[in-house]
Amino acid sequence: MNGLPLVLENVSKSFGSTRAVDDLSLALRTGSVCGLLGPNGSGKTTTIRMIMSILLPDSGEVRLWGAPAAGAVRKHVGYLPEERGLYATMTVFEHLVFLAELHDLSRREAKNAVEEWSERFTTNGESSPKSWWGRRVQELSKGQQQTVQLIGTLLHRPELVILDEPFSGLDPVHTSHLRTVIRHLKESGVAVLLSTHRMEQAERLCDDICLIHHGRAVLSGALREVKSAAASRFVELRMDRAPDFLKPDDLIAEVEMVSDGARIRLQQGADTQMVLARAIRRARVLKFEIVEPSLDDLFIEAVSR
Amino acid sequence: MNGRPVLTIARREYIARVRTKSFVVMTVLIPLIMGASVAIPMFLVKADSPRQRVLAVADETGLVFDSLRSLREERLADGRPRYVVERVPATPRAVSDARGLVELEAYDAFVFVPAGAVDGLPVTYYTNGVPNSREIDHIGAAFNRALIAVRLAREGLDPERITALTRSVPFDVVALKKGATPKTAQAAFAAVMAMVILMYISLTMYGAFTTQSVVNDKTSRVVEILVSTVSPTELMYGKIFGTGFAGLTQLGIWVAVTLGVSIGMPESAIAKTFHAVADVSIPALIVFFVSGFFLYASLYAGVGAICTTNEEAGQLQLPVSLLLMVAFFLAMSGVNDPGSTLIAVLSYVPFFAPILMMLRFGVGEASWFDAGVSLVGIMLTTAIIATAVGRIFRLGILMTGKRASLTEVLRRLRKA
Repeated sequence: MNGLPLVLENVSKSFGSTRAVDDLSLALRTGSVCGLLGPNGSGKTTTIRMIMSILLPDSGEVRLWGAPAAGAVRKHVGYLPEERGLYATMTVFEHLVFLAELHDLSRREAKNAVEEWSERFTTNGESSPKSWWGRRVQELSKGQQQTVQLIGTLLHRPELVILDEPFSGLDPVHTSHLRTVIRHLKESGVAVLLSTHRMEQAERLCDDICLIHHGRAVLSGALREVKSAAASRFVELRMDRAPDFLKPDDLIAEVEMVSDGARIRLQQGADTQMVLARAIRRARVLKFEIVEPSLDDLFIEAVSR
Repeated sequence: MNGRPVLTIARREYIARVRTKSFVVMTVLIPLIMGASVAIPMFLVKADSPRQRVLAVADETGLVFDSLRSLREERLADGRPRYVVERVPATPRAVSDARGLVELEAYDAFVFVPAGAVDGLPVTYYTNGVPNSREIDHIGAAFNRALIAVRLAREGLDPERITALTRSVPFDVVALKKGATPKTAQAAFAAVMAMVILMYISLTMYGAFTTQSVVNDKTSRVVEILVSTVSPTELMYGKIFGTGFAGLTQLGIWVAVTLGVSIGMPESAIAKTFHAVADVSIPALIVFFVSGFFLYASLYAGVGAICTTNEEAGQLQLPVSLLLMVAFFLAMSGVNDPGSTLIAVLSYVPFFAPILMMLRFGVGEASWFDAGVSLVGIMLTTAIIATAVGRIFRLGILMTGKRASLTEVLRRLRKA
């Protein structure tokens, strides 16, 4: 298949008078991880549902490998919905085979794929998913159900994988395992769209980000560039007195108390030295550092704008 | 639409349905209940009959006692006489003794025939405990015959000759219609009624299962995965076929059991009904049954598509159930006069057609051509409904909380 795995062009969707997604554009490269970030209710899930043709956009276009998203090309996508759902009374094995068959695998291929992926999903210190094959879905723990659903997403070797809030409800062991899986996918040339509001996970995984708020893209591009563009707007400051004289004004956008001082976000275009100058006038400065913003910082900045 | 995902979904649906406890229980229980409802009365009758009855008769006329030949000639299975008829003198003393002996259960019954009985005075029958009405009718008829014979003899007529002259003849009914093979109409009626009732019960039951299965996909949230890979129409067809074939499997098992019983007991009512059904043309019945099944299953799936909870679906099923009920009662009343214009016209209306055309065809009122026309109507309607339901479903998937109003459903149908 040629063309970018996923392209969104000026996509909009309204529900009644609410604009859920507003003129959103996005492109995803082969072998990269793109984070679709945003607070709850920002339109992430609606966007993903439009990619999967569960919802149809009011205007704009969604293309998968250059083809309209509503066609058979959907079967090459692996989709993990935010609302996890499995048939409670089916056994794990039957369920996985069913999910594989839905994606046009023959029964034999489906069984082989289930076997293979279950091996891969054996985490340290835990029983292999193979050992729960015979159990009914309702007898599994929530984490195990998540694993089953994730395996079901990957059985048909999709070249585009869409994960909607995949970390929700996972313990640290499963979270770290999921990160490994995502990195493996990326290394094998799969394009991954990762929707999450867990910024620390996005920061560790994403090559590109698209931050949306109220259905609009407020910040997007390669993660590194986005960060460097915002560099020199965050400083950490330690003084011999409380930084209570530092209040948001035309220079300072936000002050956050941290363990040994304050973390300050500057207004757009402001000079860091001005902050230092102001601090020196009122106190002895013990530490002054220009820091690289975290994705969390960028997120909060973008959302509060 | 593509056949393969339909098959995948239908197979999952089928296996899930057939494995439920209720399916297994119903499959075993219904033939047991039906078998018991036939076997228990038969057993009770058998257990009841072999006892010999002692009947005391006080005959003031002196003419009746000797004419009770029919009662004396009856034999039990083991060859003993069924009734031991004892004469009691027609004196007040003997009569009151006889009544006492009934109370003591020495006699099963005591019959007093007064002198005026020939001219219409009532005969009195004394029995202990609850009277058995069938036996009273039987004995009463024997006394009446004896009394009538006495009257006839008094007029100088020969009772034997009168009986011979007034004998009634059996009335055989044969329906003839447009080159169809003549059928014993009564047997066909019974067979068709059996099919109509069976159809009504299974449509109601499996219709509800179809709704449930659609709603469950939404409540379990599996639906999001399903519609991200298959089209809603494929999903609907898969659900309808899967649930439908589970229903047909159950019916198949029941029919097989019935067939077994009717082979084992060729004289039973079950066997006779079965032969009558076979006589009506099994393929035609199966075709109407199956097409009716899928038509109503698609309607019930539609109910599931606009609901978000099973409780809500239970309420919204009512209109569909009513439609089915109307068809059922039309068939029930139509069975007396399947040739009526009303039934004929309605048998082409798709929602009534499966039941009414089955009825008309079954009793020889409709030709193969009529059946074909109405069948095409049913299949077209089913296809239209399944597609429409698929569209409603697509847009109703993510709807939670509130139920779609009719206008909203129509709006969605236009938009989708």
